[in-house]
Amino acid sequence: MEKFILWAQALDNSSPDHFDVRGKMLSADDSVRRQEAVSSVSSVIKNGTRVYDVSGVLLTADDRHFVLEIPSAQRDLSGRTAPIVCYGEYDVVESDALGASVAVALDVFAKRIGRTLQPEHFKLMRISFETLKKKSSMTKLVRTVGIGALALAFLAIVYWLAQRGW
Amino acid sequence: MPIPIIIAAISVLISVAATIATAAWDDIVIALKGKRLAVLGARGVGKTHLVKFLTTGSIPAEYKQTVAPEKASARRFYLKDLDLKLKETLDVSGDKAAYAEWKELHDEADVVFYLLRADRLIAGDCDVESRVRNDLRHISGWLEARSSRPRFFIIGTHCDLDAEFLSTSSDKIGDYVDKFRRLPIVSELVARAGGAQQTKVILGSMKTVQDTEALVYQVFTQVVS
Repeated sequence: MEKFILWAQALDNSSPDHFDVRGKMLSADDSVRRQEAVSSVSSVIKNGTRVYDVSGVLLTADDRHFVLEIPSAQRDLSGRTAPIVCYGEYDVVESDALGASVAVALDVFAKRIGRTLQPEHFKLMRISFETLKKKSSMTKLVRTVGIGALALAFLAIVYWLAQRGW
Repeated sequence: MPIPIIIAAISVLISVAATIATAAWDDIVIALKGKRLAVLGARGVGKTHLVKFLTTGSIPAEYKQTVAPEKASARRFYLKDLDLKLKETLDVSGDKAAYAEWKELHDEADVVFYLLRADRLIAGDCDVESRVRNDLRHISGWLEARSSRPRFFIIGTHCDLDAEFLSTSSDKIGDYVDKFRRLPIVSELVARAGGAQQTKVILGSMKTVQDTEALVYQVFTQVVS
Protein backbone atom coordinates (compact mmCIF):
# COMPACT_ATOMS: atom_id res chain seq x y z
CA MET A 1 0.00 0.00 0.00
CA GLU A 2 2.76 2.43 0.91
CA LYS A 3 4.23 2.46 -2.58
CA PHE A 4 1.08 3.33 -4.47
CA ILE A 5 -1.64 5.86 -5.15
CA LEU A 6 -5.09 4.27 -5.35
CA TRP A 7 -8.04 6.20 -6.75
CA ALA A 8 -11.72 5.43 -7.30
CA GLN A 9 -14.74 7.56 -8.08
CA ALA A 10 -17.68 7.56 -5.66
CA LEU A 11 -20.65 5.48 -6.79
CA ASP A 12 -23.15 8.28 -6.10
CA ASN A 13 -21.27 10.60 -8.50
CA SER A 14 -21.50 13.46 -6.01
CA SER A 15 -19.35 12.48 -3.00
CA PRO A 16 -15.61 13.19 -3.31
CA ASP A 17 -13.47 10.53 -5.01
CA HIS A 18 -11.64 8.00 -2.81
CA PHE A 19 -7.86 8.45 -2.66
CA ASP A 20 -5.26 6.38 -0.85
CA VAL A 21 -1.86 8.00 -1.21
CA ARG A 22 1.01 5.78 -0.07
CA GLY A 23 -1.05 4.08 2.64
CA LYS A 24 -3.11 7.07 3.84
CA MET A 25 -6.72 7.77 2.90
CA LEU A 26 -7.05 11.44 1.93
CA SER A 27 -9.78 13.48 3.54
CA ALA A 28 -12.31 15.30 1.35
CA ASP A 29 -10.79 18.70 2.12
CA ASP A 30 -7.20 17.71 1.32
CA SER A 31 -7.45 19.29 -2.12
CA VAL A 32 -3.71 19.83 -2.56
CA ARG A 33 -2.74 16.19 -2.15
CA ARG A 34 -5.77 15.08 -4.17
CA GLN A 35 -4.71 17.27 -7.08
CA GLU A 36 -1.11 16.03 -6.76
CA ALA A 37 -2.35 12.44 -6.98
CA VAL A 38 -4.44 13.24 -10.09
CA SER A 39 -1.47 15.03 -11.70
CA SER A 40 0.79 12.01 -11.11
CA VAL A 41 -1.69 9.72 -12.84
CA SER A 42 -2.28 12.19 -15.68
CA SER A 43 1.41 12.59 -16.33
CA VAL A 44 1.79 8.85 -17.03
CA ILE A 45 -1.27 8.80 -19.30
CA LYS A 46 -0.04 11.83 -21.27
CA ASN A 47 3.61 10.83 -21.59
CA GLY A 48 3.44 7.05 -21.45
CA THR A 49 2.16 4.33 -23.74
CA ARG A 50 -0.67 1.83 -23.37
CA VAL A 51 0.98 -1.51 -22.64
CA TYR A 52 -2.10 -3.66 -22.04
CA ASP A 53 -5.82 -3.32 -22.75
CA VAL A 54 -7.92 -6.45 -22.20
CA SER A 55 -11.46 -6.72 -20.74
CA GLY A 56 -11.28 -3.37 -19.00
CA VAL A 57 -7.84 -3.99 -17.45
CA LEU A 58 -5.63 -1.18 -18.74
CA LEU A 59 -1.94 -0.69 -18.07
CA THR A 60 -0.13 2.47 -19.18
CA ALA A 61 3.53 3.11 -18.40
CA ASP A 62 6.25 5.67 -18.94
CA ASP A 63 9.94 5.04 -18.24
CA ARG A 64 9.49 4.67 -14.49
CA HIS A 65 5.81 4.76 -13.54
CA PHE A 66 2.70 2.79 -14.32
CA VAL A 67 -1.04 3.42 -14.13
CA LEU A 68 -3.24 0.37 -13.85
CA GLU A 69 -7.02 0.55 -14.24
CA ILE A 70 -9.10 -2.43 -13.15
CA PRO A 71 -12.92 -2.74 -13.18
CA SER A 72 -14.78 -3.40 -9.97
CA ALA A 73 -18.00 -5.42 -9.83
CA GLN A 74 -20.03 -2.40 -8.72
CA ARG A 75 -21.80 0.17 -10.91
CA ASP A 76 -22.46 3.81 -10.13
CA LEU A 77 -25.88 5.52 -9.92
CA SER A 78 -25.86 6.04 -13.69
CA GLY A 79 -25.21 2.33 -14.29
CA ARG A 80 -21.57 2.82 -15.33
CA THR A 81 -18.83 0.39 -14.35
CA ALA A 82 -16.65 1.78 -11.59
CA PRO A 83 -12.93 1.10 -12.09
CA ILE A 84 -10.12 1.51 -9.56
CA VAL A 85 -6.85 3.12 -10.59
CA CYS A 86 -3.43 2.28 -9.16
CA TYR A 87 -0.30 4.38 -9.76
CA GLY A 88 3.22 3.48 -8.78
CA GLU A 89 6.87 3.13 -9.74
CA TYR A 90 8.17 0.00 -11.39
CA ASP A 91 11.46 -1.74 -11.76
CA VAL A 92 11.81 -4.40 -14.46
CA VAL A 93 13.85 -6.64 -12.17
CA GLU A 94 11.17 -6.65 -9.47
CA SER A 95 8.11 -6.69 -11.68
CA ASP A 96 6.93 -10.14 -10.54
CA ALA A 97 6.86 -8.98 -6.95
CA LEU A 98 5.27 -5.73 -8.09
CA GLY A 99 2.28 -7.54 -9.60
CA ALA A 100 1.72 -9.35 -6.30
CA SER A 101 2.02 -6.19 -4.18
CA VAL A 102 -0.33 -4.24 -6.49
CA ALA A 103 -2.87 -7.07 -6.13
CA VAL A 104 -2.67 -6.86 -2.32
CA ALA A 105 -2.96 -3.05 -2.35
CA LEU A 106 -5.95 -3.13 -4.71
CA ASP A 107 -7.70 -5.78 -2.63
CA VAL A 108 -7.27 -3.83 0.63
CA PHE A 109 -8.37 -0.53 -0.99
CA ALA A 110 -11.38 -2.14 -2.71
CA LYS A 111 -12.58 -3.68 0.57
CA ARG A 112 -12.08 -0.40 2.40
CA ILE A 113 -14.35 1.49 -0.04
CA GLY A 114 -16.88 -1.35 -0.38
CA ARG A 115 -15.90 -2.64 -3.81
CA THR A 116 -15.34 -6.12 -5.13
CA LEU A 117 -12.65 -7.10 -7.61
CA GLN A 118 -13.09 -10.20 -9.74
CA PRO A 119 -10.48 -13.01 -9.76
CA GLU A 120 -10.32 -12.94 -13.59
CA HIS A 121 -9.33 -9.27 -13.48
CA PHE A 122 -6.56 -10.04 -10.97
CA LYS A 123 -5.29 -12.67 -13.41
CA LEU A 124 -5.34 -10.16 -16.28
CA MET A 125 -3.57 -7.64 -14.06
CA ARG A 126 -0.71 -10.09 -13.45
CA ILE A 127 -0.48 -10.74 -17.21
CA SER A 128 -0.38 -6.98 -17.81
CA PHE A 129 2.68 -6.65 -15.54
CA GLU A 130 4.36 -9.58 -17.34
CA THR A 131 3.73 -7.73 -20.63
CA LEU A 132 5.22 -4.58 -19.14
CA LYS A 133 8.29 -6.55 -17.99
CA LYS A 134 8.84 -8.01 -21.48
CA LYS A 135 8.39 -4.65 -23.20
CA SER A 136 10.63 -2.84 -20.74
CA SER A 137 13.35 -5.49 -21.01
CA MET A 138 13.24 -5.21 -24.80
CA THR A 139 13.35 -1.41 -24.66
CA LYS A 140 16.34 -1.54 -22.28
CA LEU A 141 18.11 -4.06 -24.52
CA VAL A 142 17.56 -1.93 -27.64
CA ARG A 143 18.73 1.16 -25.76
CA THR A 144 21.86 -0.61 -24.43
CA VAL A 145 22.73 -2.04 -27.85
CA GLY A 146 22.18 1.38 -29.45
CA ILE A 147 24.40 3.17 -26.91
CA GLY A 148 27.02 0.40 -27.25
CA ALA A 149 27.02 0.72 -31.05
CA LEU A 150 27.36 4.50 -30.83
CA ALA A 151 30.24 4.17 -28.36
CA LEU A 152 32.02 1.66 -30.63
CA ALA A 153 31.54 3.93 -33.66
CA PHE A 154 32.94 6.85 -31.67
CA LEU A 155 35.99 4.81 -30.59
CA ALA A 156 36.55 3.66 -34.17
CA ILE A 157 36.51 7.29 -35.40
CA VAL A 158 38.92 8.36 -32.64
CA TYR A 159 41.23 5.43 -33.52
CA TRP A 160 41.03 6.29 -37.24
CA LEU A 161 41.85 9.95 -36.56
CA ALA A 162 44.73 8.94 -34.28
CA GLN A 163 46.15 6.70 -37.03
CA ARG A 164 46.10 9.67 -39.42
CA GLY A 165 48.05 11.76 -36.94
CA TRP A 166 45.24 14.23 -36.00
CA MET B 1 3.30 -12.71 -65.47
CA PRO B 2 -0.08 -12.26 -67.14
CA ILE B 3 -1.08 -8.67 -67.85
CA PRO B 4 -4.32 -8.70 -65.73
CA ILE B 5 -2.31 -9.64 -62.63
CA ILE B 6 0.14 -6.79 -63.28
CA ILE B 7 -2.75 -4.35 -63.76
CA ALA B 8 -4.43 -5.61 -60.56
CA ALA B 9 -1.15 -5.27 -58.63
CA ILE B 10 -0.66 -1.71 -59.91
CA SER B 11 -4.27 -0.83 -58.98
CA VAL B 12 -3.75 -2.14 -55.45
CA LEU B 13 -0.48 -0.21 -55.12
CA ILE B 14 -2.12 2.99 -56.37
CA SER B 15 -5.09 2.62 -53.99
CA VAL B 16 -2.75 1.92 -51.04
CA ALA B 17 -0.63 4.95 -51.97
CA ALA B 18 -3.77 7.09 -52.32
CA THR B 19 -5.05 5.94 -48.92
CA ILE B 20 -1.71 6.73 -47.27
CA ALA B 21 -1.53 10.10 -49.03
CA THR B 22 -5.09 10.98 -47.93
CA ALA B 23 -4.39 9.98 -44.34
CA ALA B 24 -1.14 11.97 -44.35
CA TRP B 25 -2.92 14.95 -45.95
CA ASP B 26 -5.62 14.81 -43.25
CA ASP B 27 -2.89 14.80 -40.57
CA ILE B 28 -1.32 17.88 -42.17
CA VAL B 29 -4.69 19.66 -42.46
CA ILE B 30 -5.50 18.84 -38.81
CA ALA B 31 -2.08 20.08 -37.68
CA LEU B 32 -2.50 23.37 -39.56
CA LYS B 33 -6.21 24.09 -39.29
CA GLY B 34 -7.46 21.72 -36.59
CA LYS B 35 -9.05 22.89 -33.41
CA ARG B 36 -8.12 21.58 -30.00
CA LEU B 37 -11.14 20.99 -27.79
CA ALA B 38 -11.42 20.95 -24.04
CA VAL B 39 -14.50 19.07 -22.81
CA LEU B 40 -15.08 19.92 -19.15
CA GLY B 41 -17.83 19.21 -16.66
CA ALA B 42 -18.77 17.37 -13.48
CA ARG B 43 -19.16 13.61 -13.26
CA GLY B 44 -21.85 11.94 -15.32
CA VAL B 45 -22.67 14.91 -17.56
CA GLY B 46 -21.62 13.16 -20.81
CA LYS B 47 -17.98 14.24 -21.36
CA THR B 48 -16.78 10.76 -22.36
CA HIS B 49 -19.82 10.25 -24.58
CA LEU B 50 -19.13 13.51 -26.45
CA VAL B 51 -15.36 12.96 -26.72
CA LYS B 52 -15.87 9.38 -27.97
CA PHE B 53 -18.41 10.53 -30.54
CA LEU B 54 -16.12 13.28 -31.80
CA THR B 55 -13.05 11.06 -32.02
CA THR B 56 -14.60 7.80 -33.24
CA GLY B 57 -18.00 8.68 -34.71
CA SER B 58 -19.78 6.24 -32.42
CA ILE B 59 -21.08 6.34 -28.88
CA PRO B 60 -19.74 3.96 -26.21
CA ALA B 61 -21.44 0.55 -26.06
CA GLU B 62 -20.56 0.21 -22.39
CA TYR B 63 -20.19 3.16 -20.05
CA LYS B 64 -17.58 3.43 -17.33
CA GLN B 65 -16.61 6.19 -14.97
CA THR B 66 -13.62 8.21 -16.19
CA VAL B 67 -11.18 7.97 -13.31
CA ALA B 68 -7.74 8.16 -14.99
CA PRO B 69 -7.78 10.42 -18.06
CA GLU B 70 -7.92 8.88 -21.55
CA LYS B 71 -6.17 10.11 -24.67
CA ALA B 72 -8.57 10.93 -27.53
CA SER B 73 -7.00 10.88 -30.97
CA ALA B 74 -7.14 13.57 -33.68
CA ARG B 75 -9.80 13.17 -36.37
CA ARG B 76 -11.12 14.81 -39.51
CA PHE B 77 -14.73 14.06 -40.34
CA TYR B 78 -17.76 15.42 -42.09
CA LEU B 79 -21.09 16.09 -40.43
CA LYS B 80 -23.70 17.20 -43.00
CA ASP B 81 -22.10 20.32 -44.56
CA LEU B 82 -19.42 20.72 -41.85
CA ASP B 83 -15.79 19.64 -42.34
CA LEU B 84 -14.50 19.14 -38.79
CA LYS B 85 -10.79 18.92 -38.01
CA LEU B 86 -10.10 18.08 -34.39
CA LYS B 87 -6.70 17.78 -32.73
CA GLU B 88 -5.81 15.18 -30.11
CA THR B 89 -7.30 15.90 -26.71
CA LEU B 90 -7.83 14.29 -23.32
CA ASP B 91 -10.96 12.94 -21.68
CA VAL B 92 -10.62 13.97 -18.04
CA SER B 93 -12.23 13.10 -14.73
CA GLY B 94 -15.11 15.25 -13.50
CA ASP B 95 -13.94 15.29 -9.89
CA LYS B 96 -12.88 18.62 -8.40
CA ALA B 97 -9.46 17.07 -7.77
CA ALA B 98 -8.95 17.21 -11.53
CA TYR B 99 -9.22 21.04 -11.74
CA ALA B 100 -5.49 21.32 -12.49
CA GLU B 101 -5.96 18.94 -15.45
CA TRP B 102 -9.01 20.93 -16.57
CA LYS B 103 -6.94 24.12 -16.51
CA GLU B 104 -4.15 22.58 -18.54
CA LEU B 105 -6.67 21.34 -21.10
CA HIS B 106 -8.42 24.74 -21.14
CA ASP B 107 -5.16 26.64 -21.59
CA GLU B 108 -4.26 24.64 -24.72
CA ALA B 109 -7.75 24.69 -26.25
CA ASP B 110 -9.20 26.71 -29.12
CA VAL B 111 -12.73 25.77 -28.09
CA VAL B 112 -13.96 24.97 -24.59
CA PHE B 113 -17.17 23.02 -23.95
CA TYR B 114 -18.52 23.08 -20.42
CA LEU B 115 -21.14 20.34 -20.04
CA LEU B 116 -23.81 20.39 -17.34
CA ARG B 117 -26.96 18.45 -16.52
CA ALA B 118 -29.68 20.78 -17.90
CA ASP B 119 -32.43 18.51 -16.54
CA ARG B 120 -31.07 18.83 -12.99
CA LEU B 121 -30.77 22.62 -13.19
CA ILE B 122 -34.35 22.86 -14.53
CA ALA B 123 -35.46 20.66 -11.62
CA GLY B 124 -33.73 23.08 -9.20
CA ASP B 125 -31.13 20.61 -7.88
CA CYS B 126 -29.16 22.68 -5.34
CA ASP B 127 -26.14 20.32 -5.36
CA VAL B 128 -25.81 20.65 -9.13
CA GLU B 129 -26.21 24.44 -8.88
CA SER B 130 -23.49 24.61 -6.26
CA ARG B 131 -21.15 22.42 -8.33
CA VAL B 132 -21.59 24.34 -11.60
CA ARG B 133 -21.19 27.65 -9.77
CA ASN B 134 -17.89 26.39 -8.34
CA ASP B 135 -16.72 25.08 -11.74
CA LEU B 136 -17.50 28.38 -13.47
CA ARG B 137 -15.70 30.34 -10.75
CA HIS B 138 -12.53 28.47 -11.77
CA ILE B 139 -13.17 28.51 -15.53
CA SER B 140 -13.96 32.25 -15.64
CA GLY B 141 -10.59 32.93 -14.00
CA TRP B 142 -8.81 30.80 -16.61
CA LEU B 143 -10.73 32.50 -19.45
CA GLU B 144 -9.76 35.94 -18.17
CA ALA B 145 -6.12 34.93 -17.82
CA ARG B 146 -5.76 33.81 -21.44
CA SER B 147 -4.34 36.38 -23.85
CA SER B 148 -6.37 34.90 -26.71
CA ARG B 149 -9.71 33.80 -25.35
CA PRO B 150 -10.99 30.43 -26.59
CA ARG B 151 -14.56 30.06 -27.86
CA PHE B 152 -16.65 29.06 -24.86
CA PHE B 153 -19.85 27.03 -24.89
CA ILE B 154 -22.14 25.89 -22.10
CA ILE B 155 -23.78 22.67 -23.27
CA GLY B 156 -26.82 21.47 -21.33
CA THR B 157 -27.22 17.71 -21.65
CA HIS B 158 -29.81 15.10 -20.62
CA CYS B 159 -32.72 17.27 -21.85
CA ASP B 160 -34.49 14.04 -22.78
CA LEU B 161 -35.06 13.57 -19.05
CA ASP B 162 -37.10 16.79 -18.94
CA ALA B 163 -40.77 16.23 -19.84
CA GLU B 164 -41.15 19.76 -21.22
CA PHE B 165 -38.27 19.25 -23.67
CA LEU B 166 -39.84 16.02 -24.91
CA SER B 167 -43.20 17.68 -25.49
CA THR B 168 -41.70 20.77 -27.20
CA SER B 169 -42.00 20.77 -30.96
CA SER B 170 -38.91 21.65 -33.00
CA ASP B 171 -40.32 25.07 -33.99
CA LYS B 172 -40.74 25.97 -30.29
CA ILE B 173 -37.32 24.76 -29.15
CA GLY B 174 -35.97 28.34 -29.25
CA ASP B 175 -38.48 29.33 -26.57
CA TYR B 176 -37.38 26.34 -24.47
CA VAL B 177 -33.72 27.41 -24.75
CA ASP B 178 -34.62 31.04 -23.91
CA LYS B 179 -36.49 29.86 -20.83
CA PHE B 180 -33.42 27.84 -19.77
CA ARG B 181 -31.15 30.85 -20.28
CA ARG B 182 -33.40 32.92 -18.04
CA LEU B 183 -32.90 30.53 -15.09
CA PRO B 184 -31.06 32.58 -12.43
CA ILE B 185 -28.23 30.03 -12.19
CA VAL B 186 -27.75 29.97 -15.98
CA SER B 187 -27.77 33.79 -16.19
CA GLU B 188 -25.16 33.81 -13.42
CA LEU B 189 -22.97 31.26 -15.25
CA VAL B 190 -23.16 33.19 -18.52
CA ALA B 191 -22.29 36.43 -16.73
CA ARG B 192 -19.32 34.78 -15.02
CA ALA B 193 -18.07 33.47 -18.36
CA GLY B 194 -18.04 36.95 -19.92
CA GLY B 195 -21.67 37.57 -20.93
CA ALA B 196 -23.99 36.39 -23.67
CA GLN B 197 -21.77 37.70 -26.50
CA GLN B 198 -18.88 35.51 -25.39
CA THR B 199 -20.78 32.48 -24.12
CA LYS B 200 -23.15 30.38 -26.19
CA VAL B 201 -25.68 28.16 -24.42
CA ILE B 202 -26.77 25.06 -26.29
CA LEU B 203 -29.20 22.39 -25.14
CA GLY B 204 -29.84 18.87 -26.30
CA SER B 205 -29.72 15.19 -25.62
CA MET B 206 -27.13 12.51 -26.32
CA LYS B 207 -29.42 9.54 -25.75
CA THR B 208 -28.93 8.14 -29.26
CA VAL B 209 -26.38 8.58 -32.05
CA GLN B 210 -28.93 10.75 -33.93
CA ASP B 211 -29.50 12.98 -30.87
CA THR B 212 -25.73 13.30 -30.38
CA GLU B 213 -25.22 14.15 -34.05
CA ALA B 214 -27.91 16.81 -33.85
CA LEU B 215 -26.32 18.34 -30.73
CA VAL B 216 -22.80 18.24 -32.19
CA TYR B 217 -24.07 19.81 -35.44
CA GLN B 218 -25.79 22.55 -33.47
CA VAL B 219 -22.58 23.25 -31.52
CA PHE B 220 -20.16 23.14 -34.45
CA THR B 221 -22.33 25.32 -36.67
CA GLN B 222 -21.54 28.02 -34.09
CA VAL B 223 -17.88 27.00 -33.68
CA VAL B 224 -17.16 27.51 -37.39
CA SER B 225 -19.30 30.67 -37.71
